[in-house]
Amino acid sequence: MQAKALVTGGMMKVKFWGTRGSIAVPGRDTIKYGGNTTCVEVMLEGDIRVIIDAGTGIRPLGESLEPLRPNLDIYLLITHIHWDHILGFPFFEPVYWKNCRINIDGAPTCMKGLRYPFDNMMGDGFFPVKFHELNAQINYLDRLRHGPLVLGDTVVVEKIDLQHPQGGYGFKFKQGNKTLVFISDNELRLDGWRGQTVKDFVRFSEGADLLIHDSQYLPEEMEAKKGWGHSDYLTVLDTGIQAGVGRLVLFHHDPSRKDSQLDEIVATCKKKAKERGTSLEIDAAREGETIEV
Amino acid sequence: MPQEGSVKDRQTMEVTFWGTRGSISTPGRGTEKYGGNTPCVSVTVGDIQIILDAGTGIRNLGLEVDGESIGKEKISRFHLFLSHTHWDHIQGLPFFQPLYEPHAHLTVYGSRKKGRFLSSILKGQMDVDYFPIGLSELAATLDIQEISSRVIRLGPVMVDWEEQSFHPGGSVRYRLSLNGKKIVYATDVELDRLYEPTISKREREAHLKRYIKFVENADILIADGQYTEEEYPKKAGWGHTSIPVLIDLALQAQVRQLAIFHHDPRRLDAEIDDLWRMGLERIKAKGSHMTLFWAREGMTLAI
Repeated sequence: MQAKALVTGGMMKVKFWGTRGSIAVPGRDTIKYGGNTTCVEVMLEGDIRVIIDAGTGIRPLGESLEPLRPNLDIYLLITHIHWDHILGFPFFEPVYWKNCRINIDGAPTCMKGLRYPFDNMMGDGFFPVKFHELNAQINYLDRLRHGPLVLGDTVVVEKIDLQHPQGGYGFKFKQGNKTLVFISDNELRLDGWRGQTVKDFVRFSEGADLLIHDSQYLPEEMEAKKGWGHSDYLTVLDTGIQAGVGRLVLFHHDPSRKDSQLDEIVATCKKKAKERGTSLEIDAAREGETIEV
Repeated sequence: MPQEGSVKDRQTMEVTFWGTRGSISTPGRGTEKYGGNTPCVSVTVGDIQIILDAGTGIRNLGLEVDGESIGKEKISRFHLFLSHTHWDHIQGLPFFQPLYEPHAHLTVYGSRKKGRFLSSILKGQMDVDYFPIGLSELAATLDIQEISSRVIRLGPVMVDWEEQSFHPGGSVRYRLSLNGKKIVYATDVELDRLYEPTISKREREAHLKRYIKFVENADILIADGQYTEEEYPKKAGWGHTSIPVLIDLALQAQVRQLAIFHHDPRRLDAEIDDLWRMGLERIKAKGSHMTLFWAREGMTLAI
């Protein structure tokens, strides 16, 4: 086992391995905020390590787990199975390790989505390795769609249904008095087609220490992108303020968004927050960055 | 080569690398030089636009041509040749901006030697469970063709092709010819398998003869060299070639320049620089003047 505890003193840690939406965008313009698609590592008490989504960011995350190869036990929560959230899974090294247990939960279609790149998608069933041949023990917990998922002695994970084509889940991690909310691929709107409105997301995120939320679009892009299942950053800011969260991190950056534009978006949000007299901390998720809660 | 040719003779094929990485995109500082996008190469001759594979690199190609030429009255035609339909070679297609323009026309060519039709594979990629926009919702005209003729003529450019033997699920290599100049695109093939003890001498010679005949005297051979000699044994069966095997075959086929392609996702820029140095030594030791380089995203060459 690890020599050192993952986190101590009731803390949670979040590390971003993939922050981008829709498609990976390598290149000079995305070095700062990152070009890999969704993958976030959450480190909790009791040496509990949870990975959210298997976008292309899960490949370098897998490489970082090499020292734990002799005995790795992790959770993988899947928000939904659009490609940008599952495609990295065949390139996640631990799936080929013998002493590795990957405990899976999340959107009800999660297992279908994780199987697909192996058994179907890499053309028509010709990825060199089949899902059932993977060395890792892959267990489907099937807990979240029925209710909260309890991890170890102190962590509870709850879910909320997303406003996203084909649906999906957002997650809330509670550990002692700390709360972390992760909501990607969600369109915050007053007339949510799944019966959820901004109010429901405000309630779900109420008082969270950290809210990570999809903010793929600019407010002026929303008209054209209505129904695509993503939010604009001002609506996200407003939601964060209404929910009284401590810190807001913008996530799922549009593939066309350059580093310099994200810098501007963050500056705009900070200015608006100040005008509204809140002490909300705001940033945009940067690949490789770790946040302590 | 013509000394003083007509305008037509002087036409060149302009080759641009939009994606050079194999298997999965690898954004980040460590891959800035050679690039992190998955396979896509464009070949332009006048207004004929040929695209080889539709990995994530095709997104940037689409953004560039979109700004230049589309959306006017004129129809923009693109000819996309797929080596095969592994995800890293088709995943950029839904992000190719011209597909959302009514004035664009895209013909997709691919192998017919598949259990499923090419069109259903591409439809499956945009299946509603995995991608929010369906293939039928695109504004552009899309014509998906399983190649049946030996040769496809696109204006003065002639494209011929061959099935490759060693890749899980199969793959196709393409040869583009114009006025005696030849570009060969032969990625996702495990040429090391030729030297397996299970393959008879006769079989090996037949395969070699076929390969060499196809790539012979290519002005540029863009080819899969994903693994080092040391890495290959662990990745045998994954459908990719090791660098020394590729270099030696290219030398044997008297290729003029070899662009090593489909870089392993783990390979950092600095390591490629080292491999390049070693590759050049290998060529020098064999007394050849073949040009060798590792394909870099954004690089354009005139052939």
